Amino acid sequence: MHTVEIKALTEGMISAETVHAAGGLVVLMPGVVLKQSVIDQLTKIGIKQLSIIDEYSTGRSAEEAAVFSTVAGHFVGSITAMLQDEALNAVFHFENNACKINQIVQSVLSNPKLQDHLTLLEKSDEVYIHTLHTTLLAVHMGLVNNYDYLNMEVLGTCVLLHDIGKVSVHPAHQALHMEDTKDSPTNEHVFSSYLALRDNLDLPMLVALVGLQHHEHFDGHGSPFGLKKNQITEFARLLAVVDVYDNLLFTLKNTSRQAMFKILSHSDTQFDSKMVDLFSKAVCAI
Amino acid sequence: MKILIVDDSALSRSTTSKIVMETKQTVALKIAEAVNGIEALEKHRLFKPELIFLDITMPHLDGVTTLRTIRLTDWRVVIVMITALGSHQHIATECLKLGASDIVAKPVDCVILHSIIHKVQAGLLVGGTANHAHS
Repeated sequence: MHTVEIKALTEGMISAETVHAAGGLVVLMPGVVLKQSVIDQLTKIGIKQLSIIDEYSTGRSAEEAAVFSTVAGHFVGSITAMLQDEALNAVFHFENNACKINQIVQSVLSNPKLQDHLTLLEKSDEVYIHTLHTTLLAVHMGLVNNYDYLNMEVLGTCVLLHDIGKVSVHPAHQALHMEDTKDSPTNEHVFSSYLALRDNLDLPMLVALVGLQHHEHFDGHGSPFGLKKNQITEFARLLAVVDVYDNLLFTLKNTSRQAMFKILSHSDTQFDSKMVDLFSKAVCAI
Repeated sequence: MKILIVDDSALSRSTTSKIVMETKQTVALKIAEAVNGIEALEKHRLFKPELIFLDITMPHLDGVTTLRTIRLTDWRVVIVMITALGSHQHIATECLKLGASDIVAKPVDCVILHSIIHKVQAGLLVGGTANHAHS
């Protein structure tokens, strides 16, 4: 991998890094073969340099590919079953989007860079099921919001991995400088998620950031930092809604109507009202 | 020395970059730029700068949030906040409490920036320590 000035980029070069727009949406992912339109877009947003894959990068071995298939296969089976489950559809209302959701989530699961994390997620049934529920629901909301395919995959990745810190405490967690953070029981897993996902250089930084921010509240009363409004990335604000909805339904055993009312009652306080509106539109529980 | 310049304004990044480049004869430099807070976190992770010039006022992930997130894992990098809000002392104080190494007001003064680079080079300006604020 080496860095090239934007003026020296040519079609056919392959990106080695993720490029984000200001709000957190992804403009370019690693592994993308550059076309002139992409180079023009990067120039327009002010990018001056880009890391490019060297000519002789090597891929995964056949043994690694076999392991990846086994791990992802379990998730794929679960996703397919969930999308066909009538009880789940009654509360998530996938309906016409089920096929597209399946396609996007399978595409996310086929990413070989996630396989180690997927193996960890299988350690806890509770986290495994919550992870799949929230991923399906977040992708459903993303489709309703008309995100492009690239950002649908990034959103799916962010949500799939957001609670990795619950199944694996990062060894550097105790060494974090947390003097500035609020004291909260959620802090341990969000910090571990952040550290684990930040360590994976093949994932966009946005994925780590969503792991860190998904318990922040829109009005600044969340944790760990008490961030407000647009300080919280868009995907973290979206995940905040689906995360709580799933917990209300399946941990606290609320009905879908009860859960929806609780979400609506915290619009513009705990949750971004735009995300609550999107959620209402997608789920249509009432 | 690896220096990261973070500002959503292309003009500001360009100005700061040119001023930084003026020290090239006395300090070996590599410069990277980030156009927003998330890019700054990516570059911090991959480029591993020793010095970051970080604009406070950016849309979405602002400079203060970016500072806090970097300081979770890295207390050694020198982070100098660049503010257009020269009269808002409370923001400067907050940044220093959160781990900014120094504060510089816009429009950036080339003498001050050169001094900062040479101090970092000499180990006189270190990360996460409130040295002094330039207003």
